Amino acid sequence: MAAAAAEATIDGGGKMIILISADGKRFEVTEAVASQSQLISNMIEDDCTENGVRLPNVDGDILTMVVDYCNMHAGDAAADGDTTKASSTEELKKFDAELVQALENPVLFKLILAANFLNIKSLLDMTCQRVADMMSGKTPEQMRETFSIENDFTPEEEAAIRQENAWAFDD
Amino acid sequence: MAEKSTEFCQSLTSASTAWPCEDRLSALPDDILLEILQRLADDLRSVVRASALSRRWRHLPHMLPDIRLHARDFTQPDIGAGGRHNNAAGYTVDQTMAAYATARWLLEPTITTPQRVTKKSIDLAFFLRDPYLHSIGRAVGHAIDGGGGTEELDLTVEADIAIADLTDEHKVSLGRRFWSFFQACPVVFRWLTRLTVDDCLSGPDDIPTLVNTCGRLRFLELRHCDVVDDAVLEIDAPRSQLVCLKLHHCNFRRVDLIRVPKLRRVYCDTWIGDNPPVRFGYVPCLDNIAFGSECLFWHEPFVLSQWLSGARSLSISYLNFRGQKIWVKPEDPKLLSPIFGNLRNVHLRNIFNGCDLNWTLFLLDAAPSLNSMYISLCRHTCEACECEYGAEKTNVTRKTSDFKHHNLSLLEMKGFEVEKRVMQYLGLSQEEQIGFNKMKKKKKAKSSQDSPCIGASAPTVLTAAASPLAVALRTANSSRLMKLSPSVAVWPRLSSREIRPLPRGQPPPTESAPLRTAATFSISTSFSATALHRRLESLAAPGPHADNRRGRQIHALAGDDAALRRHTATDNAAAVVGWRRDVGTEGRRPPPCVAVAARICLLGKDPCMECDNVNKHRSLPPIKRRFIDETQKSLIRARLKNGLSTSVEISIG
Repeated sequence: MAAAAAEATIDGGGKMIILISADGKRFEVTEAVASQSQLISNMIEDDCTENGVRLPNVDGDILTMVVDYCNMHAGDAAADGDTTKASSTEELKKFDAELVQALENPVLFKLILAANFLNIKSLLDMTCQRVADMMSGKTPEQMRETFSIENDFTPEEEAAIRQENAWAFDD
Repeated sequence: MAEKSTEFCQSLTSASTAWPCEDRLSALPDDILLEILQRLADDLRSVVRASALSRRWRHLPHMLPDIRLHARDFTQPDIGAGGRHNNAAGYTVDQTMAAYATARWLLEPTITTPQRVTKKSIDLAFFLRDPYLHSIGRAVGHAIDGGGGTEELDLTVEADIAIADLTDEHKVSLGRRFWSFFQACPVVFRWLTRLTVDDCLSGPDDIPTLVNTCGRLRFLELRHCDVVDDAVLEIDAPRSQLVCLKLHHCNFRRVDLIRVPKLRRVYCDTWIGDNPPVRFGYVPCLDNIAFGSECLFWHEPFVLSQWLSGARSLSISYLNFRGQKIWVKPEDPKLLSPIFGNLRNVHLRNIFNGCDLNWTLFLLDAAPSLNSMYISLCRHTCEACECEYGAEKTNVTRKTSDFKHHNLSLLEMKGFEVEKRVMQYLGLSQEEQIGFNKMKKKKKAKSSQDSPCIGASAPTVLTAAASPLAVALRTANSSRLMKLSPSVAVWPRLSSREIRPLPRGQPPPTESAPLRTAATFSISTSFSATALHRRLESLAAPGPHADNRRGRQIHALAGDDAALRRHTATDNAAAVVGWRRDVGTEGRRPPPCVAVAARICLLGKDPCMECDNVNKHRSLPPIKRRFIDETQKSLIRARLKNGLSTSVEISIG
């Protein structure tokens, strides 16, 4: 499906690159799409994408999302200065918001790891911001609940931290 | 990158055994968790709370490369997840500063994070209140020394009491605290890149010493500051890196910039000392000036060519007049043209109502590269806010000589009342009304322009006639005659509800136009009575100004904006005129010049917009009004960071 999406947006040819996920799924994308990843962009420059790019840290499911994201954003750099861009920017924002809102936590974190590994700055920004938004304004208890974080402080330790920074904990 | 990824995998696998498998957030590597925390950095409360989540999170905040500690973040209500206000009960300044001082642990390296954490940027803002300053300074010093420096160190120090309660005595003690902090924390000031100081009284040598000592200082903003004995502030700093200087409502007699070689931007908002408030010596990089103040009765207009004689690369000039007198003097353009040779934008703001406008052409004449010219008439059409010490209304008359201008591509005029004067200036004369539809079609053809005002009835169309301005532009483009008609139209009688934001044609709110069009009454509220008194004393010798004004009670100045409220709505009108000539790509012959007026709006039966704002304030819902009042009265003055405004700006309406 992702491969199809990739082909659908191919504009004016360009060399194709095969990305191979940890579980062996193959994705064919244009160089323009793939080079949003700084990692792959560097590999393209070094001319070592001939036999496909193996991404042992990224599952097929996650790579599907990443490729979708890159396809959607491939026009970004190219369309700069285009006056008709406004509407597509809106669409992109909507797409991004929906993408990031809909994710379950484990998937979100995997996507963060993938974005970090592939070095796709905009995707990393967006996903980290999502987590930050989920933390913002919450008490530690609420944060722990949201992310299933286990409190491994002793009660004394926790009390000490709270007391030291009382201003941040008073409700 | 590959090693890094293997590390991630390992950390993931090892983490999944060490942590309950569902806590995948904590299992992420440090650098990603720091990426997340960094995005919370404006929300210090949440960052600190995160450190109480678990041992994994305990020391992450230490490692943040960019840290922002603003005392206001400790006092402002925090909207919790359920939308309720936490911590709404206000802190006192002491409580805030005590909390602030404890939060310095965020800067200090710990035993558990022994590796040096280099802070990329440290952004601090706090109140000048002892005994916390020195411990904060030491913590910052340790953080910088421990990390081997920092790229950006931004410091804002604010008065610890509200402006309304600020006495001269308190300014003295604030000054003492600040300069003692300066002495005690050399590391901080050695690395300082931006500094904003409020309400401090200094010795005449203090600020020059600071500029010379802070070798990395690029940005200096002084707000409501003062110098003892009404001394002239002389800054001679040949090795200084200072790029931008902002003076906001400072009581200085004058600032002399003797040698500041890197200085590019100077902003000065409201002065009561000499006119001009700043003298330029060796400032070869000066590129952007913005000066705005009301002309007071002791201010004599000055000549630009003398004032700016050291500047050669000026590209933006922003002059905001506000009062009833123009504080610059028109002069021979030939003298000014060496200075204005590279000038691209000129802003002439708040020219008083009824002022002749032809004098402005000397700027156009002197600046052959001028690209955009923005003129606005004073928004106070009711003349309500005339300052007691404002200069008397003085018209500027100047005969214009013939000249040609080849580069002006945007002229924008904003103001009230389409008066004859404005029309004459623009070279417009009123003609018969024509159908609105025809206009609309024209507008559509120029689709990039704003749509016309809503609620318009048949517009009056204005056609071009001979005016010095029109001649200057036209003779230069004789083959490409500016076609002003029929693209300029007047729509009479819009109600206040229909007032739209000003057209897009106005300059972008960049640094080129930093001075807010503050209401003219700012003089009376922002200076202490004593500062003005002193200013008046210095003028005590009998002279041309020895009129009865001086005898008036000075307490009338202290924060009395009743005059503002007294005035009721008057009949006003607004004109917003602009035209844009499409300029061809450089080097090529420009296309036939078509001038398109952005629009003219004539607003009938509306109160003065400025004063109306105050009335609007009163008609706000009680909760919003209370919020505004509390903000103004609260112990701690809210400030826009780096902005020139001294109070939290609440947009009303």
